[in-house]
Order: sequence, then structure tokens, then C-alpha cells
Amino acid sequence: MRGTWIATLAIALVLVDILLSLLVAPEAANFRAPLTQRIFYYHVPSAWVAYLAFGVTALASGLLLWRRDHRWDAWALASAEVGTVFSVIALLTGLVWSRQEFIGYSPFRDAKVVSLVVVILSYFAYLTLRANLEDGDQRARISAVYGLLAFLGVPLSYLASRASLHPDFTRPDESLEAALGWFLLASTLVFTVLYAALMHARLRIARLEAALES
Amino acid sequence: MLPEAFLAPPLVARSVLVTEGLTRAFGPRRALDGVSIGVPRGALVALIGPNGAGKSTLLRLAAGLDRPTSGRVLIAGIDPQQDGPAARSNLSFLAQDAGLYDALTVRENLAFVAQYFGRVAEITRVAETMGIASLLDERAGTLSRGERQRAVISRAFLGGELLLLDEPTTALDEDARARLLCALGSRRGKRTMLVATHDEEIAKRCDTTLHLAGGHLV
Amino acid sequence: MELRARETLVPVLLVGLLVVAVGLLAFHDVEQRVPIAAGVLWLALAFAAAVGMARAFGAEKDRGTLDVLLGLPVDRGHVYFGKVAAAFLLLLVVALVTAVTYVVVSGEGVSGNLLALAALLALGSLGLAATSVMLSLLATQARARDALLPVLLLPLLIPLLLAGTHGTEDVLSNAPFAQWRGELFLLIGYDVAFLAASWMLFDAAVGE
Repeated sequence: MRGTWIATLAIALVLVDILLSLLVAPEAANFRAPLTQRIFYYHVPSAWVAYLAFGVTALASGLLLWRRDHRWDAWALASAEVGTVFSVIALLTGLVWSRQEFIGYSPFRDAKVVSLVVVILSYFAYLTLRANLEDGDQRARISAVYGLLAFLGVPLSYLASRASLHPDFTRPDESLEAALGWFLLASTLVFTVLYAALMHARLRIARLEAALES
Repeated sequence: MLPEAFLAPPLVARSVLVTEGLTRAFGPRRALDGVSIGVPRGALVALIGPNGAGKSTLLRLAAGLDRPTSGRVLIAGIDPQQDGPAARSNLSFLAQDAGLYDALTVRENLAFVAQYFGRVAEITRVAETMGIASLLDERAGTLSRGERQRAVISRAFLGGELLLLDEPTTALDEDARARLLCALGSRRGKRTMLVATHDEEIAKRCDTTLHLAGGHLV
Repeated sequence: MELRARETLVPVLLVGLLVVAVGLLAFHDVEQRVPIAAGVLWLALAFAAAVGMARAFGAEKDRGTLDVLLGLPVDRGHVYFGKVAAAFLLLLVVALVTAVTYVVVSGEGVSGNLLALAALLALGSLGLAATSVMLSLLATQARARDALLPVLLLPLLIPLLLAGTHGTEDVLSNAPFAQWRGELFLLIGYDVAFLAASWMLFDAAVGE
């Protein structure tokens, strides 16, 4: 069955990823704390998925409103739930890593941190909004509107942090060795597959719930 | 007027309000289920039914304040979902819990709506009909419940041609009720009115009554 | 038509001023420094928006006039802009009062590029008005409406507050235009983006 296939694949890939990142991945010579740097392989992909999920939620919201098709509501909700998990992971791993890596690090000055926090707050707000709306049709529509507005706020948050010309702790991309880069890419793909698997499962649950209701 | 019949085009043209298979579901519960009606121009129609029958839902959908789950509404041939402003220019909806702006005078409250329908000149006349002419320059916040209800009814008459009134007789004393009945009666033929009510007296004066129960026409 | 929507907000002015007073009193014993001044100013403004403006649609619904507004034969976007205009003016007043009161209370002299400060505050107020009014409409239709609104508002306000406070800091320290130019453009972009998006989405957000 397609469902289990994707789930097994995802789990397998994640396990492989964890093993490889801990054992086989090349030593990061240019980083201050090479061991903790391995967290990087979870942080970057998590952040990527967090943003991807938000994009999916926004896209589903837009489609729902534009096409007046409430079937997209399940996608918006599923992506928001899954995205929340990934974004929290991203934030935590990011903070742990940065603490080790940079001296005198202040997360509040970092544009990436700010935009990730905004994403998390937006997810939280979105889910809280949904929890307070009872009528299914209305809930779909109103949360879709909020989803779109919140999505608008993310790039603005990023730019707002950078525009202030305060020091910005971006990752030292230029010193990323080739092998590291490849591994990072691989991890990102793994996480994306994981996201897809979770979405698939969540959407299946949503379909069952809908069938139960009618 | 045949509520159950499918309406042919000529009838649609003559009708101010048409609904086709109107359904509004709140989750599994259907407040309205496949309701099709046609209200011809100038008619006074009563909408009768027990509480929870779907009367308010029907009126709100007709007024464009809510979206149907399926089916559609046509006001003078216009679908409020397609062209809201045009549809709304033909309507006037009075909700059960309609209110006024307390900080403004009664006149200002009435004018607020009247100005959009070119009926500002009628304000005094309508106020006299409903017996609140003396209150026009009072702040709305000082009115009693009965006076407020008279005021919101007046405001409704200053709106679009199709009047959608939801239980207008609540909080009205005998005098106000008589005035309302008189007003409704005198406007028959000139304006189209759909009134949801429990009041027998109103029903008696109407051209037709529609009975609603459990979301269906009976 | 916008004028009429504005009239109805007059009583809310008093609420707004109250919030300002509270906001200021809470901070008056902090050390006098430019970043603090900027922070206080914008925080008070944000509070006023969240508490005062947010009631924009809540009040309408409670009073029973929301249906009337939505029943008018005009583009619903006009109703939105009417409310935003009223909220904007209100917030400008709040900003002015806060700024003046702060100067008076802290005893510090007024320095920096005041024109630029006014511009930033105006843009910030507009952005606050745009988002809080729109979200007020969303929240009004949900349960726990008063508690819900700040939750919804916060993520959207972060970019505005960041740009506003940083820009204000720069402006009050007489920094060159190039330094706070970014914040200015961001505020402009924010306002345009949210006003446009809210206007387009307004109709979709209505309807029980």
C-alpha cells in the first residue's frame, strides 16, 4: 500500500541519515565545535521544511479561497501541524548550535532566528484560531485568510531584521566544504521525504475524520 | 407563487428574490435543505416556522450575509456572491439583534443607511410612521428597548427595495406593532417584503405564507 | 462613507488614551536612553492597537451594527478602509500623546530628526491600523475573541515593531539617512502589502 511504502522509506532514510551524520560525515575543519556541528544536519533541513510547510499552508489557503474549494482545508491544516513540529526542532537545534559556534551570540539580532520565530508564532496563532472556530466552512475560510496574511509577514520579518544593519550571524557559507555541502543536501532531501510522509498520514486521518462526520 | 416549482425565466424576471436549492449546512446539521422559493415584486410574504426551522438562516443567506453550502440566491437576478454591491442595493435586512450606534443621534443612524439608497428625504416621514419623530435628535444610547426597535425598523424601511425582516415585532408594544402592521400594509405593491415572524396578525395581512420546519419548506 | 465609520470610533478614543497612560506609567522609572524611548513609544502604540483598535469589529458585532455595515451597497473593501482610516487617526493621536508625554515625564530634551520620526510613526500607525482592523474582523467571528486577537496579531506585528524601533533609534540619534533608509522602506512595504492583501481578502473573511 502506498501509505506504508512512503512511511517506511521515510523512517529508513532518517535512520540512515542519523547514523551517517554521527559516524561517517566529514569532520568540519572550519567550525569551532566540530562535534556539535553535526546538529547542523538536522537544523538546516528542519528549517527548510518549516518554511516549506508554511508555504504549502499558504498555497492551500490561497487555493481554498480562490477556487472556493474547501477540500484544500485539510492540506492547510496538515501542513501547519507538521510544520510546527519541524519549526520547533529547527529553532532548538539552531540555538544549541549557535551557542557553541559563535562567541557572544545574540539570537535576537539574527534575521534567520527572527523569521523562524515569526513562523512558529504564526503556526501557533493559526492553530489557535482554528481551535476557536466551530463552523467548518467558516473555519476553513477564516483560517485561510489568516494563513495568507501570516505568510506575508515572514519575508517582511526577515527583511526587517537585516535592514537594521546590525551584525548578522549568518552561516559561514563560503567556508563550507564540498563534502559537507553534499551531506547537507542529502539530509535536506531526507527531511523533505519525512515531511511528505507525515503529510500523507495526516491527510489520511483528515479524510477519515471527514467521512465520519457525514 | 409556487415555492416548490422550478422557476421558469419569465417568473425569475418578475421576482425580486429567488433561491434555488438553497442549502446551508453547519457540519452535519442542515439548517436549510434545498429550499427554492420565488418572491414576486410587491408581494408581502410571511415566513413562519418553529424556532430552529431555518428562518433566520434563510433571510441571512438572502441578504448576502452568509454563504450557502450549495444552491444560490438571486436578488433581482443578481447573485450576491458575484456582485455584492449591486445585489445589496436592492435589499434591506433587519436582523433579530439589530442595533444602533449609541454615540450618534437617531437621525444620524437612519441617515447613515438612507444616504446610500437616496432616501434621506424620507427619514422624517418614516420616523413619523413608526412614532419616533420626536426622538430623531436624541442620542441613540438614550432610547428604551421599544424605541430602539422602532428605530431599527425605520432604518430598515430606508434601505433597498426588498425588505427582509427577522422577527420585527419583538420588543414592540401594541402601538408600535399597529404602526408596523399599517406600514407593511401600506407598502404592499410598492415594496417587496419577506417577514419571518411568529405573529399571527402579520401573517393574516400577507399575500402568502411560507412554512419552514427543520430546514425544509412544508 | 468613510467619515461615517470614523464617527463611530470617537468613544473608543478614550480607551486608547487610557492605554497610553498605563503604558507610560509602567516604564517611567527606567533609565533614560534612546533605545528605551524608542521601545516605549512603539510598545505603547502596539498596545493601543491591540487593545483599542482590535475592538473595532468586536464592538460592531456586539452592538448589532455589523450586519448593517455589511449590508450596505458598497464594496466591502470600503468598509475596511473606513475602519482603517479611523484607526489610523486614532493611533496617530496616541503616538503624539505618547511621545509628548514621554518627553515631559523623562525630562530629556528632544533631539534627532523629528520629521523623520513623525514619518516613521505615521507609517507604523498605518501598518498597525491595517493589520489590527483586519484581524479584528477575523477574531470577532471566533470564540474567545478578546484573548485571541493579541495572539493573532503578534506574529504579524514583529516586522513592523522591529523596523519601527530600530528606525526610531537611528533617527533619534541623528544617524544619516542611509542608515535608517532600510527601515523606512520596510515600513512602506509593510503598509502597502498588508493594506492590499487585507482589502482583497476582506470579503472572503466575512460571513458567518
